[in-house]
Formats: sequence, structure tokens, C-alpha cells
Amino acid sequence: MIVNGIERPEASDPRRLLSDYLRHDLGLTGTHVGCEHGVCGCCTILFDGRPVRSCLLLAVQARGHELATVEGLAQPEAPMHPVQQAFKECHGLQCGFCTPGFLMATVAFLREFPDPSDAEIADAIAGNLCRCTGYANIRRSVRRAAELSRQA
Amino acid sequence: MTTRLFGERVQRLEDERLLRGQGRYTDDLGNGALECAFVRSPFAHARIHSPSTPPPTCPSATWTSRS
Repeated sequence: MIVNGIERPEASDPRRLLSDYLRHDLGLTGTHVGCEHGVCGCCTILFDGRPVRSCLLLAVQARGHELATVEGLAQPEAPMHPVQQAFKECHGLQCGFCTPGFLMATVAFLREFPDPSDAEIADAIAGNLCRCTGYANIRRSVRRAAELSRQA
Repeated sequence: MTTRLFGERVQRLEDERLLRGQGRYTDDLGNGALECAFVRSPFAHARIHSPSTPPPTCPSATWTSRS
């Protein structure tokens, strides 16, 4: 499988969750595991460009597929991705635990809806839970991310 | 940013690493991190006479009130 553009070996254990494979085997701890049963959205990554819950997939299911995690949004020294920038500008995070999931969900959403309505934004992030900021700033961040992405 | 504090927006310094997936949460410590478990008394009010420790399994260590 390819993760953030890099070819990676298969998981040695067929029971390995994709989220655990990313975190423990590849050391990509930006992907967070909140509830481990597909409710909180913290572990959201892109699977062939589509947002998925990595805690509900086995690593072996990703064989031959292309994955993107939060670490792949921007190179370490490079400027942040427009979605990351928007969350920073709009205070769309506090503790940051849920943030990678929101970012990946937003990236996928804006590809499909580059100029979303407020209702579409609310719908798009309905699968991600945040216990710090409330959702007003996050909705604002997604709106801002759409603006920045259109400019980019 | 000015040196005035009241009424100024203060930029959060932690956001960038959190947004880049570079936050360090406890569960991110990774392989090789030591784990710790606390064994608590099932009795609300009791005297500890002789705490016993399980046989040592490398590299774990058990600490009791005696230690």
C-alpha cells in the first residue's frame, strides 16, 4: 500500500487494525484513535481519496490502495495545507485530538464541494466529534478552508 | 503582536504542531514505552500486612508500600 506517497510493507498480523498499523507500525501518530468503534471520527484518513474510519478497517484491507494521513497534508518545513491554515486562523481546535479527523474529512469534502453551503458543511462534519471548541469555530474553519482552497 | 496583553488576540503557539499531526499525546509515546498499572485495595479500610509481588518478568518492576 502507499501511505502519503510512500510504498509501505504489509502488516505482519492479519488482525491488525489499519489505525494501529499507521500509529504503531509506521509511527504515524497524527492519526488518532478516540472511540475505536467508528463513532468519533478521530481516525479518519483518506482511502483512495475517500474519507474512511481507519479503526474500522484492517490493515490488510488497504493492500494495493493509496492512503493519506494528516502528516501527508504538508511537508514538515513547507507552509501548511489551506485546510490546516484555516483551522489555525479560525481557532478550529483546542486540544487538537479530534483535529486530524476533521482535517481529513474536510479535505475530502471540499474536493467534492468547493463552495459549500452552511448546511452542507454541517452535514460534512457530522461524523466527527469535538469535545473542546464546540462546532461553531469548526464550521467557520471549513468555510475559510473553502475560501483558501479556491484561492490556492 | 504588541506587548499589550489586555484586549489583544493571543496567537496560540501549539496549533501548528497539532495541525500537522505532530502533537505528542500519551498514547503516541510508541513502542518501547514503559507501562504502569496501579493495583488498588479492594477494601475501603484495611491494614496492609504483607503485600506480595508477582514473580518478576523482565523488564517489569513491581513497587509496593515496602519499596
